[in-house]
Amino acid sequence: MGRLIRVITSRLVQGFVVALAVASLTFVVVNVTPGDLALQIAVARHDLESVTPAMVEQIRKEEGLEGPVMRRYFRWLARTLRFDLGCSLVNGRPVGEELIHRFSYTARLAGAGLLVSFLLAVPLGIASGIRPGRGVDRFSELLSSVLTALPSFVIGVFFVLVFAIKLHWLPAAGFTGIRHMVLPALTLGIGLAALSTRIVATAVADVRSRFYYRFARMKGLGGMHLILRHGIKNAAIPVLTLLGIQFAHLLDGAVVIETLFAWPGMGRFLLEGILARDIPVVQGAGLLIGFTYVAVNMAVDVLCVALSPSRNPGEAPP
Amino acid sequence: MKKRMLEVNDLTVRAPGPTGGKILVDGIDLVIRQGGLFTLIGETGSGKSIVAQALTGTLPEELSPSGRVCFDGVDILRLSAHERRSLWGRKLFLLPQEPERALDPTMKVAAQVEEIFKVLRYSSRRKAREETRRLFARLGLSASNEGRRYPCQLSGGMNQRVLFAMALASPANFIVADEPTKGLDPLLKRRVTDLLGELNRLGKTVFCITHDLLVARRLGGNLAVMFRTRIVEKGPAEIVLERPSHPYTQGLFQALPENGLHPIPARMLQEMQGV
Repeated sequence: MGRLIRVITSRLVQGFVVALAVASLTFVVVNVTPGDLALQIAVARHDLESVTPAMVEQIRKEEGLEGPVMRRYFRWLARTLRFDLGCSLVNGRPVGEELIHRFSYTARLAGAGLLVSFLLAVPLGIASGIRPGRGVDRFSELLSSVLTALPSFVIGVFFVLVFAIKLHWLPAAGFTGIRHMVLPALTLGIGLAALSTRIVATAVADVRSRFYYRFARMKGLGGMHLILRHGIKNAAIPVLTLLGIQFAHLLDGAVVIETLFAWPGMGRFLLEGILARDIPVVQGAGLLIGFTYVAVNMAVDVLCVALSPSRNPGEAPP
Repeated sequence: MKKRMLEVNDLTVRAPGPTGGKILVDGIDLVIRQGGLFTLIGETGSGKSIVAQALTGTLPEELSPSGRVCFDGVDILRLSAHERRSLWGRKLFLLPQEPERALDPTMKVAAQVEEIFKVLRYSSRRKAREETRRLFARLGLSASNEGRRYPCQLSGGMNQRVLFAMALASPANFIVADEPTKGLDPLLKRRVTDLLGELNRLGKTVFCITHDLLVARRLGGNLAVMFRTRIVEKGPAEIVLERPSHPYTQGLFQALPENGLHPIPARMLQEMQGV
């Protein structure tokens, strides 16, 4: 039990550090890019012809874009620590509310994508791992390398061409019903499954080669009992650890896939924020992504500890 | 006379190769009766482990055995791989050398014993737990303390005893122990040897393979000495150990620390090879 608490506290501290680093980095990046921010905001709110120098100066004052960089940084940091992410520079709406709304869309897409990848990777990975080097294994290995090499937008465009434009089975873009989720979730899930199938296969093959697995067989165990009690549980540890790492890919992928399928999630929100140089949006989205990443990794570590209290999280089986 | 549990006739194992291949085990004959205790002693490379593998059906596929290994009236050399596997845990139990590698690292040790009761004896969960507790107590372990730990949290000796609890839990009556004392310190070695004797007293037929004369002496029962692929001497342990008749067995005795640690002369070994 003590180990579990240690893992959680260390992850919480880590989460705080990551959040601080992410926030500071986005602040730095946004501030070192060339160009006058106040002018760009003015252009974004009105249009190029009607902007006057007076309007730019007013925006500079209102949005706190004046004064030395360090003072602006600490002022912003103090606000962020109170969970006040500020308002969008473009439309003036609070970033926090918008983020929560957008996050719920990304979470739905990510959940569906993970489900797809699990449904593909677990059975295929186990089938490959049980007979390494045989037909199923060769096939899944080839498929994985091809799919890993293909960027997700290629897979996505292919799906849109086939299922939306040619066959008219599913909508190409939008977010009004579950039908809209099928293509983006498939695109995301297949991209994830390409890697996780191999990880599952390797983990299963590794457990099967261990002496405790053979001994469990010599004890007279077999069939589903052997696979469930001695196989899956041991193989799950490296797979779960990978899942945490894959989450980064999931969030990266979300930007591409959300843009492709016009899905109103965090990824697109971040992208729109970056294009409009909407600092509070970029910082808020960056923070939330960083936090989510740390939270998922903490969940993975806790699960690994629960599965095997004998080991430190992330450590390979002996 | 008790019924014959295991009868080995003219067991020969060849490694693959030209001109019939190298002979690894040459014409072994053995009889082990039900409830008996049998020790096969020999040096590394004498072929004793190959004999154990032939007995348990774990012989590597490329080795071709001939002869007969009748186990409970069935010649296991004639069985398919699947049929041989069906004997594991039901008719024979292989006690492995290294408990740390044999136990599942992510499962509490008591649960690893309980599952034998549940799967192989169809016991209820409660009965399995009760029986495991009893076995643990008999072996000096506590089911509520050590039983709730993972293998890596226990000492080598405790894990060793968990394996013995598994052997006792198993419905198999024939226990094959391949070098059970390998790499153990003298104290632990004596304990493990005594546990093997305990298994035998509790009704299991025990077949022990060792290179250690002291283990063989402490175990008692019947003994066969293996030297360069052949059995050179066999009989009740006390007689073979008291009055060894084969020069190799005599040499082994001279090599014991309490007998002066005399190495077996190379000349003697060369002569014996011609036998």
